[in-house]
Amino acid sequence: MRMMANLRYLATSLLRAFLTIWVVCTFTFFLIKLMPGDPLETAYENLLMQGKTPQQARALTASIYGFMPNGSLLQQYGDYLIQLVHGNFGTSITAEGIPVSRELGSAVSWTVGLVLAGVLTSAALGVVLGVIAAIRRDTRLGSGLTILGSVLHGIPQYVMALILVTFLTVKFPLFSTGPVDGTLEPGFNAPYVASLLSHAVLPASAFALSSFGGYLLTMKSSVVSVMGDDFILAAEVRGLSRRRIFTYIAHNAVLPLFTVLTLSLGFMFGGSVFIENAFNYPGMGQLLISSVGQRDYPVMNGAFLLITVAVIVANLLADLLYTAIDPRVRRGGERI
Amino acid sequence: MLSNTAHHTSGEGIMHLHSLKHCGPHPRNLAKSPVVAAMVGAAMLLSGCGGSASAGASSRTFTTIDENQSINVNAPINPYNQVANMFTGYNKEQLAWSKYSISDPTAYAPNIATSWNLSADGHTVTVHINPKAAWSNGAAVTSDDVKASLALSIANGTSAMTAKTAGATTISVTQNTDAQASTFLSNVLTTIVVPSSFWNAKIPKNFWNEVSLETSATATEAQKKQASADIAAFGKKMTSLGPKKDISCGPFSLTRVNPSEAILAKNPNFFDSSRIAPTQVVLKSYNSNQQIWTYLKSGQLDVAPYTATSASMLKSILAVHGNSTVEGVSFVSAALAFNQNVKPFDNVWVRRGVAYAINRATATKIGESTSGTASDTTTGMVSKVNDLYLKGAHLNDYAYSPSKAAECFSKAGLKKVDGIWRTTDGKPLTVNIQVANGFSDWVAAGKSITSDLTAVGVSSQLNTSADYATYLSDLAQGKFPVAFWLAALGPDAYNAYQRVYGTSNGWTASGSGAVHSAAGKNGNWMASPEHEQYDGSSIDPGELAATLQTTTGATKSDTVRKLAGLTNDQLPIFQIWDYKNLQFVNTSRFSNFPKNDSWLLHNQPGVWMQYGYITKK
Repeated sequence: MRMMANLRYLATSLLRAFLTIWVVCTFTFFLIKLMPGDPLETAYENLLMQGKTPQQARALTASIYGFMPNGSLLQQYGDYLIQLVHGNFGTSITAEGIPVSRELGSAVSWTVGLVLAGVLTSAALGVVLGVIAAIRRDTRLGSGLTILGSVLHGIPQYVMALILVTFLTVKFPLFSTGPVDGTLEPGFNAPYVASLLSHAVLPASAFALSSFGGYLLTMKSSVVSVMGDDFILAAEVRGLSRRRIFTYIAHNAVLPLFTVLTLSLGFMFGGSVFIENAFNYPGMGQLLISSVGQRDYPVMNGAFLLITVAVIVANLLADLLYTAIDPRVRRGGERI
Repeated sequence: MLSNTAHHTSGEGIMHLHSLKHCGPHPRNLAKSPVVAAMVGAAMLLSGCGGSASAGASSRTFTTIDENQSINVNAPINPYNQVANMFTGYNKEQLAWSKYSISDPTAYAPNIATSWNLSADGHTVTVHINPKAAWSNGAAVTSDDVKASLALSIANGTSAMTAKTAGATTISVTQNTDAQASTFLSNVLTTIVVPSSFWNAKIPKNFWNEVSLETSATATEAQKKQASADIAAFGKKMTSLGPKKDISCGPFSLTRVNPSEAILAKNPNFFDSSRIAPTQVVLKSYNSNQQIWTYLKSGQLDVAPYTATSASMLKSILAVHGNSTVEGVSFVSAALAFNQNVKPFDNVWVRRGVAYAINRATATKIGESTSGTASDTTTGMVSKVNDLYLKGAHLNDYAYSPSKAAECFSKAGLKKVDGIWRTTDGKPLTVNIQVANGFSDWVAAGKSITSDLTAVGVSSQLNTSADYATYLSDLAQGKFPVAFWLAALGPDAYNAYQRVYGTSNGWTASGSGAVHSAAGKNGNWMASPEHEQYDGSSIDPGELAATLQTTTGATKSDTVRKLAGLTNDQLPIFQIWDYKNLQFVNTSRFSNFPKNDSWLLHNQPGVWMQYGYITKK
């Protein structure tokens, strides 16, 4: 019975997810097409700046035109859906002939590692320091951590990134921007891996430093709230060890953060525009910005679709995993 | 290479984000987190292992950026793909390099082509290939390679030609159309040379027949249309093709690409490899001016192209050991363009009044103090080109004069009421100026200009479009009464006047003349009248500008003088400043860079190397 209820719930959730993806997909398809600006005109002007004559520039932009979708808007939408069903995201307009899936794949491979490291680091940092801030809230340490969390939470990502870039790559060049030292032979070898990691430190740190404040404050608030619950008082009265009580507190206090974390992992496919821009990191954020600037419609559609699917899947996972983590949550009418 | 690609591209496929704000260091303490500290400590150790392209690489590694070509790991090695991993002057070679001469558009420096002869009628050019030119795989560059190269060029829109090889190192090219000699010569000599060993297998067997058919006098319209479609289809198909490994006839060949860098190694088979000092070139990717400034301030770049830079940022960059600048002529001017379809900008006295009210020197100082010079006057061309054509011409310099501005507004029938100029229907004269987001020099200068206008009693504000693509789209739809416009794109006067009397002003090239479209149609947003009175006669400026494509000598000079005089008199545009081609060089690792005003500055540093510059210190 419970299994049937769970299956029914899963099926409903999946259907809802597909519907949401389709709606967002459709909405972004038409919204992108409504954007003012023309990739041909932008490319034409750029070619004139490079010294081409008007005729040469027109001829070269004609090659881009060959990759522009044609037909009425509805026809284009129909073609787009048919291609999607076959797993085809189309080809880029500005990077002529290159499949969108390849462009997205390259960008995602850089984004996932970076943002995942940033998200997990900020979550871990936020949780640990949030707990300390809650438990020591009446001390200078607790107050200090709260202020630190508030201040860092208020610093925008791009400011944090620029601070790190200015200090650690320019003033004191301990690090380099970019994803890796290109002179090294790519592959699973020590120098290349070390270079990858060292180049990821600053952007991941920027991400972590600008977002762990939110986790810290949320965790602190959650811990303080749980600490005031009756069952904690009961545990203390029963004489349970501090360690055991702390486990109860942590288990319950971390629940709100779990949803936030799961959704963050979904959003990570969107990359971080500011951080990638500051560190010249070739992730989804950069790809999205450049495709918007050049009106590369297929790449934009592909990127938005990927982000949508990631967030929806993350949301679904959060819902499903929450039932496993929190025994108080039941489906099918059961109650504790 | 014009100086403004870094200003505007996105090119690189990439949009430059301009910022005059110098984000200087803010003294803050980083969070004392043990995790972050551990990460930093580990990273410091690791960075010692990893190294960076500039710090750890050979001392004969030349590091720069290519503002015309973005770096894309998925891109093919194909010169006709917008994001191709081919870089002009390094692994992308032309038959010859343009000298960007103002007086002689046919001035080219030999490269893969050692010499060429243009027939008297300008229809045939015989090209002699350097017998020492070779590919990176050791094979010689032959006339077959040039023929394949011409095929790709035609497939990508170049006017139809017929190519006949005459031996291994000679090829004769005849144009199938009736283009002007200099245009035809340019089309041939700027052909990018590609290896026939790869491309011949991709070019359709009947390609050259189709090219002939397309312009044949005896073919039917249906046949011509089919031939054009087939050529276009091949052009589309081939842009995604390319050899797996780079086969280069340039001084370098591509060895590796990652998202941040393209690495090229010296090609020992290059015909003049003894002149090439660097053993490796690293082309770094960038996404904004900020990124380039970061590279410059950390001393990573040996050469950087023109980059819009504020005075304070320039100072910071030049404070770095080894950094200095070289300056060349730029054939780009920043101007205001009027939409004469919007009243009262159809009245020349209003346009003249606006011109007199603007202090160009101040606007230039505020907007482009490091790489701009206030325009002497408005002619549609930069000052250097004016010097060639307009000696002795009597032109109005529109020097800043609020009193003359007032005179002009009065002549336009405007009345000043309570300090505000009002049109005949009583509304305040409003001059709102449009700029594109990201163009920080336009934004800054625009603010200065609106202040000047407000000071003389004209209502004025600066409006910003979300991005350049939106700006161009709205501009073409005639949405802005006054907007910033890049003008004077030379060096040839024909190109310059296409910016004033071309598509944007209603004239579309047709044969050797031009066809005019009404205001608002076919991209006509400037909406100048089709005929203007000048010097006692009625002229069609678009037709006249189109003739510059075919005329030479005294006829050309005479036409240029007329167009310059008309532009100066009628002010369809008003030039604010001429850009300077300001580039950065670093003399820590290499020396012997081209001097100021050298023609080489219009080309990439790879070309400089081929002419003996950039030597090991």
